[in-house]
Amino acid sequence: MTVEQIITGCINKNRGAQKELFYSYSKSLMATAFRYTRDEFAAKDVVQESFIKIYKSINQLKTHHEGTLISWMKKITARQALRYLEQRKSFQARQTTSRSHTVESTANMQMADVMKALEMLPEGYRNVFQLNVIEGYSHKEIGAMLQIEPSTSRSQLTRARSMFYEKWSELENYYGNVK
Amino acid sequence: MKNGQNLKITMEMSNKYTNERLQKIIQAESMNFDQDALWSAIDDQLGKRRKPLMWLWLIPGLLLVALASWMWTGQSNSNQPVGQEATVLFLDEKSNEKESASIAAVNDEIDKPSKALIANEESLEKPTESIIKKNAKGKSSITPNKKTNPNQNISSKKPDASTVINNTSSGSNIPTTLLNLNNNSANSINTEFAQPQTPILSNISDTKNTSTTPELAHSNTLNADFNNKKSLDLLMAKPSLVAYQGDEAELPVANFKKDWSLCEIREPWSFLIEAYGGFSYQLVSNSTTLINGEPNTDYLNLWEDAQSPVGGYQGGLQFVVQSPGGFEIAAGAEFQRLAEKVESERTIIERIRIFDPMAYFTIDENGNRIFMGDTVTQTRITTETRTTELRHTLLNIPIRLGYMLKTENWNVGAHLGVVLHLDYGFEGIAIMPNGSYMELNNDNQELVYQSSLGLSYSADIHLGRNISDHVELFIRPEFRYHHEPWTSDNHLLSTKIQLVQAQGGLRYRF
Repeated sequence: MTVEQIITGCINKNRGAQKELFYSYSKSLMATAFRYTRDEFAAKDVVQESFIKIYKSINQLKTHHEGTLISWMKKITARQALRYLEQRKSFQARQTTSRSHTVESTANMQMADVMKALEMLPEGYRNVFQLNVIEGYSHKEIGAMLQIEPSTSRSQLTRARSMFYEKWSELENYYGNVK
Repeated sequence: MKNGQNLKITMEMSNKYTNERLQKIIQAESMNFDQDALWSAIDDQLGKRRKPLMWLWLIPGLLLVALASWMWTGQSNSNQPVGQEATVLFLDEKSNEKESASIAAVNDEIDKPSKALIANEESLEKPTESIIKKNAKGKSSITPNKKTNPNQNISSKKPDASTVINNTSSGSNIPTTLLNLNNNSANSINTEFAQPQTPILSNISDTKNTSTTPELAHSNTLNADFNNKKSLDLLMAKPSLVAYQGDEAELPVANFKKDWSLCEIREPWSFLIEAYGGFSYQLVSNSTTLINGEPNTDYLNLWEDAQSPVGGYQGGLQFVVQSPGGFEIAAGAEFQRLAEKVESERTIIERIRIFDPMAYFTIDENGNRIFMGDTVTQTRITTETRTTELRHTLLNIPIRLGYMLKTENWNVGAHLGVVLHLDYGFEGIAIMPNGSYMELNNDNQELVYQSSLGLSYSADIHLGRNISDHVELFIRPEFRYHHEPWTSDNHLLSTKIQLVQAQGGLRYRF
């Protein structure tokens, strides 16, 4: 099945196409969700809700290109993950997560470094950084999602970027992975 | 030293380069997990959400079908002659020329004193009295027309309410019967018609007759009574028109019969009361207010994902004044309830603390491993979707102006109007901009919804069928447009609701 066929099938609510979409991209979305939630179970919930939303609104996708599809799905997943984080805050549930219990990542060392560097960022910085640098949201969109001013998002990104690259570089040096 | 150099190099990396590199790495990210289990859950959820709310439309649909069936069968049965007017034509044996005399029923008011039937020759001798009387067996009676007034319309209110004593028109269920009287009798009838101020129509229906088709029964009686006589022929002649003798009393009867310009149709103003009920469906359009010049799409998506219209019902009473020309004005009171559903999520938090002999470390800014602890608390947060009903309750005053085209059995028309919303209450939960849910009722609904709604505009099409002289059954599809948002002015989301309605009911004409 080509991407075009999968998208068309999903628009027509074809269960086979929906299943194909899920099996093709769920691992990638799971990693995205996990980057935000840092919890496997929560990430699964996020992915589940994200796919429901994806199926519901896939007809809004204007370009049936794989790159566009993945980017769009990751945006939805990121948004859903932020909702999860917001809810978790409202219930004041603090979570201590161990890196060791996380799912096996297909990650190579580079990915591991990125994840570690991200984890070292304060949550607010991390979210702004991920939304802007990784997911590609604008500061206005981030402001609306996180209920902060776009200027705040911009300043947090500057600090987050600085901190992230510093840590990333250190980690690469530490593990000797600097290219 | 090496670390410092690398740090310097890293810091000098252009944002573009590092972003691209990071994105390249991230694009390859994936995580293994039990895909089958998660797909199974999604598959279940997709199946569950696909359930349509068909049952909401099933009931009004069945009602409409039943209504249509009833009206269809009612039309079929209406071919039987039922009514209150008739014209009697007398046949002169010699000239073989028909002289006319109308014996017609008047409306119910006149009906009471004149439950008359065509009588035998003796009764016809009373010139200014009714020409109809009971026969010797007492089956009929002579009843004078006590409410005679030449300038008053004494016809039936409904032109279709025609009674045929003996109908020669094709398709009639009553066979033509020759009723023979002698010439004297015929003359006396003619003489009677020449009297001024005497209506030529009189009632022949018997409202006390319990037969389902009383007029038909009378006709049969008449047929029996006059079957052996040879000069009176009862024929139907334009039963929908009403003739007055009035000033033209001097006219020869024959001319009078033919000159229909002397006849006129007068229809009085009508007063009706209407009871109706029906179902409605909301057409909802949401928009967000701007935050820093940008729409708050996140809240909009949140709202639209969770909240959806279900439908509603309404019922009311109204008074209608109808002009002879068909124009009408109506006003009344209406109760309306609209329902929406919101899917809220309940979060269940499970915490499991696991002791692990392996120590957990993290790396600090200097790259040193920092001991974090020897236990791990896993938090599992699951969400449970719960569907809650939201209720908008309105008390309305609909005011309609319209025009009705009235045919024999059907009334078709259209209305334009305004609906004044006297009271508006909201009950249920609402999603707030931060994703939380708030319980709202009449006391605090202003936080999200308006406390009053002002007015709406309405347009409808009316299709009614007369099921009796006084009662009309109707259906009325209607659209209501409300130009103002239903949400509060200071709320971050603006919701406009328009209504598509299907109403049905009864009108009683006084």
